[in-house]
Amino acid sequence: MPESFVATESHSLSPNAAHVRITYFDVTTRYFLVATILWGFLTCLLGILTGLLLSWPALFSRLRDDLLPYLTFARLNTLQTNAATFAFGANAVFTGIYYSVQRLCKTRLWSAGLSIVHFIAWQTILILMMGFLMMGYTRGSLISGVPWPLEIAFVLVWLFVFGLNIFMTIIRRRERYLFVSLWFYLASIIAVGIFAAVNWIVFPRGWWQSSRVFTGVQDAWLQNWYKHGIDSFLLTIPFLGLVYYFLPKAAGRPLYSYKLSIIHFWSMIVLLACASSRQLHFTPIPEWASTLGMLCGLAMWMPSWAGVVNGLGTLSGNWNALKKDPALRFMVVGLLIYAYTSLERSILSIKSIDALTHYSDWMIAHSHAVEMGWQAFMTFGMIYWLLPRLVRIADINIRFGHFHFWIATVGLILIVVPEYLSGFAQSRKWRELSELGRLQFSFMEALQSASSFWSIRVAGNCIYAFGIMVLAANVLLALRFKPMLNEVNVGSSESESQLTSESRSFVSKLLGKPVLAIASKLDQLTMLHWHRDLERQPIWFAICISFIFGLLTILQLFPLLAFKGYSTIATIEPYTPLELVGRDIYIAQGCQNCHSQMIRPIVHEAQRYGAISQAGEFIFDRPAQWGDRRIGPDLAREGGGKQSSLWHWKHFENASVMTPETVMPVYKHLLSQKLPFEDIGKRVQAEQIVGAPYDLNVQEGETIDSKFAVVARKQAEMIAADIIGQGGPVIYRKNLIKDTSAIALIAYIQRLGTDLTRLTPSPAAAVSPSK
Amino acid sequence: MQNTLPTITLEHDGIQENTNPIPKWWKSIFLCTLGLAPIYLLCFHVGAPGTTLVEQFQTAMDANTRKQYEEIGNLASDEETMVEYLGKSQWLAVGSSIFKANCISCHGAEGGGNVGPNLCDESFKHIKRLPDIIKIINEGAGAGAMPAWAKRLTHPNDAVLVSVYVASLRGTKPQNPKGPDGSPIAAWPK
Repeated sequence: MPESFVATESHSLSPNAAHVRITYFDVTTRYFLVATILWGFLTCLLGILTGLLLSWPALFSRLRDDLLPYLTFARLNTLQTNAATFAFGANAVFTGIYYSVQRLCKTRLWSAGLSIVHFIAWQTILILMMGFLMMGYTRGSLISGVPWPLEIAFVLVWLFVFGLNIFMTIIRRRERYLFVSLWFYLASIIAVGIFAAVNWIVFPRGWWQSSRVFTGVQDAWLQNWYKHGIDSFLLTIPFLGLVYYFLPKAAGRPLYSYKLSIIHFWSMIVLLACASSRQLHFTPIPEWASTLGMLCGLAMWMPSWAGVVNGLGTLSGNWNALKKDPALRFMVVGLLIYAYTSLERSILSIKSIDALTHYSDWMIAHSHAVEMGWQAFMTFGMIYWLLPRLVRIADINIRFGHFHFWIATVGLILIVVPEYLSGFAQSRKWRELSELGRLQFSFMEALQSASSFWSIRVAGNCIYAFGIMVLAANVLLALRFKPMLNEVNVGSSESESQLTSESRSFVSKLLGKPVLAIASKLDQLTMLHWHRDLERQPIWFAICISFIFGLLTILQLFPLLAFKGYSTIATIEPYTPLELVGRDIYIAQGCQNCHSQMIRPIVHEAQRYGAISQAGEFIFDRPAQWGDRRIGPDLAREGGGKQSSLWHWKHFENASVMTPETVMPVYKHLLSQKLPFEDIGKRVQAEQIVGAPYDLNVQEGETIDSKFAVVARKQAEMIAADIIGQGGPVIYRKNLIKDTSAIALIAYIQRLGTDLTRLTPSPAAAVSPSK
Repeated sequence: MQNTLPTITLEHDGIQENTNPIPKWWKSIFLCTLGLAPIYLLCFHVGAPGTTLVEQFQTAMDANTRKQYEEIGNLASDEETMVEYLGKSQWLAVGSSIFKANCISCHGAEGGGNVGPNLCDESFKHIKRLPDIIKIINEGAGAGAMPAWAKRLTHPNDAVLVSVYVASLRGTKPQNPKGPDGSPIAAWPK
């Protein structure tokens, strides 16, 4: 091959060292790079669709009934959130890690074949995941939703295809010490492996469904722990590792402070592992957990900024370089956005601030600033930097890069600023009390003031998507050229000792001075030489991370999961069979994407929604459906006839006829779908196996299936009779209404929140004895 | 930040690392945020009464209820009280906020009716006299088509005040009124 197209570097060696020529394996990097851009574009498209649906809820309402469920806001929102995390975010991380780990270890990837398997497996998992989520196979929480076989695949691929490869590459390195990026990569691999493995533990119900192990408060805490863990250790930690590698490379300057990077790494790991409960303030989790989340979240401010300090210090005032290099521009601006969002996250950890912002669009603004600002910009910067190093082109067209930057910035501002404004408007109207302490605004009035900003962000999203198209064009133009063959000459491992030695001394300045011996010993410790030793030993490093992380996890999990002090309700009963399948419909339709089920101990919430939620109410909720947003009102006390069953029937048929300003999608497919009553028995049995107290004894001549079908039909008839008595139809689209899925969903909703005030068994329970 | 300290010869793939010390302001702020922890714990987690979130809520809720009803005490559910409060615009505003929070999904934003009947016209289904409104609100009607609100409203006064507001809607002109339900009744007493 022509010499000029082979990039070689010479490591500074003493002249007697033996040379080895290695070729880096960059095929996988290129594949992941293309995948990142494609999935990023898809995520943007989904964002445009969901944004359109909020501004224009009737967008898909004229479609055939059977297409409707796949195109509701809830389904598309679930797809989009998962795509942003596991498709765009993860692929970007893989791109950067596969490129940088080889060069930081001065060795070719341990197994090229395994990395190709990783690529194919990951994209396959993603495509299947999107398919299943679109069909409604969600386990009830936003990110941990996929069917259990996919979750197993995810864990196995992450740990034994990806993690193993990276770890073995590090073991076989020719560079004695681990650079800081590698610490972050190791932490991410270990932590995400632990999170995904714990999340995977479910009781399967058939091939696609599963029951979670815990219920109620414990389950809600676990769901949140997992989500926080993925956001932290799949989306923050590895990106910081990428910053430590790509920013100094792009800036061409030394990293600012080695010592700060050590403190940065360990404080982030420790605090992030303990901070998950900051998203559960004011819920029935034990208050010490909520406080732990808050205090760790606050303490995370400076550790997050350590990365910013290190990054900007590396740049050290050379802001002119940003004008020349779009890669550097994206990376630095991304880092600045990270500085802002991490401060914001710390402030949002405070309980009283959280009381104002939770459930509102403010949290969405924050998520978008993080994912489309910090993470996406870092990814774009990394891609622009990688392109000329992955292909043999004489020069790369950087004008496109700068153009993309400005488009992305404009798009980002038009997305995030309206969301802050709408969040602020929503929250203010929810909270406002008159002089006499009364609610001033209805929920719909708050929604209307928020929705006036929503159309702007759709425009912003379109602009941002256009920016990604510019990037894709850039990449396509570059990839026309042949790949670059990256080779280096490195010293073989025997000659490691001939490498220029450490000139940094770890001797304390206090030695020999008139101070106590312990003072100089402590000073010596703060020089962190012991960490330097650790950096030579990746296995011990990994064990340290695993130990610390595992310990912190167990210290939180055990008290919370084993805690016996949650409030209980004496009269609580499990869901009736019909309510149980109705709940499954609620979960499959993704109602949690808009509706929360958690009334917090805050005056305006108790006034608006009813008595505050208590732990004992949720003990049969498997999975818990506490929710994170209030695009629609909270439903925790929606039951017991707060709205008549006829109202719910009509509301599912077409909500905008009832409330013109609503954004609730049309769910009329539920009104014409027949409910398979014969399958209810199996569902109840599956629930009983995992601990719910259902009575499975059958009498002569009946099976479990027939017994529970009868019980469910009785309750369905009662509800249908209510609806008919209140003026509703007897038949809807050729089906008797008592046979439809909507009746089951109405049964579930009418059950919500009634356990708290029940004195005697409800009439529905009387027909389905549980003990 | 000046990046001028001598570069150490640590070098990873061309990236060199400097030995700049950790900035003082970074250390101070970090220690402050860590130092907040014991202070916060002492304030809120030593078991002093009234410091848990739920207890703080109870205190605030009691204060709120007092604020709402200090002036008027417990209202009687009779015609006299209702006529009296029909004339008090401040308490009509309170009734309006209760209405907005609970009733508009069925009765429309201005009481013009939707799933539930039009409250602004002269025809009523279950009401003959003013106190009947309180009864219907508390107990429901139409086999659950009109829910029973007695357990859901935080205070019995709420039912009285929202009933007065509903009574005041009679004769108003909402935007999209539903047709009349029931039969016309005598006017409210003055």
